[in-house]
Amino acid sequence: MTVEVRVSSVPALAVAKARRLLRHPLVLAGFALFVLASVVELRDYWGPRPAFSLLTNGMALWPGVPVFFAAELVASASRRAGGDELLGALPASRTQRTAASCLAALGPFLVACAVQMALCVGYAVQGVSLERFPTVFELALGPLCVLGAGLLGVASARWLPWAGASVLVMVALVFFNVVVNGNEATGGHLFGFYAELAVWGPWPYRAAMGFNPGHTGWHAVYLLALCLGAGALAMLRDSPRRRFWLGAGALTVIAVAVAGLGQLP
Amino acid sequence: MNTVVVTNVVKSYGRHRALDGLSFTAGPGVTGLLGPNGAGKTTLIRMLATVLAADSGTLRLLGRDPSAERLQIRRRLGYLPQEPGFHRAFTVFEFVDYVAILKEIVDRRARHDEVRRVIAEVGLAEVSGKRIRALSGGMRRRVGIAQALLGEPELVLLDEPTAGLDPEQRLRFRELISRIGENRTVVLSTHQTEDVAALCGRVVVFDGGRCMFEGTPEELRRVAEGQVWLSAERSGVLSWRTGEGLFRNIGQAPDAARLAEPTIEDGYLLLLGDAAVGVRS
Ligand SMILES: Nc1ncnc2c1ncn2[C@@H]1O[C@H](COP(=O)(O)OP(=O)(O)O)[C@@H](O)[C@H]1O
Ligand SMILES: [Mg+2]
Repeated sequence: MTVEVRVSSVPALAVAKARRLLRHPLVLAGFALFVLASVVELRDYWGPRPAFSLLTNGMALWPGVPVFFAAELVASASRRAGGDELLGALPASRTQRTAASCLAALGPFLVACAVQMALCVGYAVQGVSLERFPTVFELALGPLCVLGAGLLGVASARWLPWAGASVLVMVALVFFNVVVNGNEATGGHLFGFYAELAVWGPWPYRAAMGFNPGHTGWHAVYLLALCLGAGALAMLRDSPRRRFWLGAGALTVIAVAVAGLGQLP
Repeated sequence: MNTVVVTNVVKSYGRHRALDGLSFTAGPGVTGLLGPNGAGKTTLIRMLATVLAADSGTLRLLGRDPSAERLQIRRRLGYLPQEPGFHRAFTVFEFVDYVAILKEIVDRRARHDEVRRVIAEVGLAEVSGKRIRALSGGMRRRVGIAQALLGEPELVLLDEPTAGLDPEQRLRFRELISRIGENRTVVLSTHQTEDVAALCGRVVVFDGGRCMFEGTPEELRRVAEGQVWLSAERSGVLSWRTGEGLFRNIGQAPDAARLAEPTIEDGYLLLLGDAAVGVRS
């Protein structure tokens, strides 16, 4: 008898799913919108405040929102197609498929990082006026939102297997964000995913009004912890190792709480 | 050696017994599960595919116990469900490739070669770049068979692979399936006696979750030997007027009747009795 050497199918599956996610029309449209807004901004169209905003957390809206929906659709594709029976008899388990979907969320994240870097270079070359240049943590906020959107999309597909459930999740997210952000114009705290770091002041936002006093480094940790929490939530659904993922989820909750407090002024 | 050994398997949905102490075996070649709708064919095939567990009784697949060694069995299994849901936006190649990844063929080049091989084997090479939603029902069924052939499985399960096909497609399917069955175990379900006659080396007839016959198609035919009569009048439980104007009666001999050569269908109908004409006890 020959000894079989079997490799896990998760990496290959993650690559395939990441490719599907990146080719999804919603994701393409989201990145296209962001790039379009960036190109406009590179000509110093809106002034320093919106320019800073775009570079730090603009990605939370797009491609963040479309990535959430696309990730949900890609992760739920076989269920919606009625293909779970066929896939259920294959060697790769449902847990492995979920893990691959979670890893695939790194695809849009990496693209977001690349876009962000290109935008930084563009800002520097064009000399876009900013009150100050964002820190690395602040630059990471946009891509982290994109990562979280992808992971939450997978969690949503696993836990809420009904048509339209993702829309409700998005409504809840927006509602949460509006409630915790407080007044954007004067600078609230940073509990939202889309949190304004710069104080916008009155229209047309041309004058520099300073920054939100919260700690943006902790805010990045806060977002990262939320991302990992969404991933743990997705894995918890069908993994036979429930205890492990419950534990991991509990750790991320603690991390979210610590980072959430840490970001307060 | 028997690839599939099913002993005394019981499976209930609520109070309804879908499989009621079923036993049978299958080895290399094509074995047909023949029975009317609701007989329990899909329930049984899902068990053989390791997606459904039996309430009681034992199953051995490829010499292993599916409750303990499911993964090892799945690696040597090909399965076409009765209603395979396809990702309609995928191309044929993308879909089969996706299944190939889930079948742990992770090396990209080897996988693509394998995907092309199975697509060619079912005669879909020309449309491998087409989206599945643009294919006809028969072509989709062939996509389903292609994915079941990935990785040269030793046991191939096909749930009603010929249902809803036109006669020409049916013929092509028979050719394909008999080729597949040349060097492995194929278990297929059908409610068509013609499929069994044309394809299967062995046939298991069952109804109401119970095995009623196990043997070769020729043996099934001989079940009705001496019990099929042609006469001028209708008689017996089952009789119908043939093209020549005579009645074909299965069962007791009517008056002035002539004994006729039975077919597999006659044997099947005789076994099922009332169930065959839709009357259930
Ligand atoms: N998921 C289910 N829940 C309840 N009853 C079921 C289910 N699946 C099958 N049955 C019942 O079990 C019996 C056998 O069904 P099935 O195995 O699909 O038969 P076949 O494939 O031979 O038509 C039928 O009476 C059917 O109604
Ligand atoms: Mg069936």
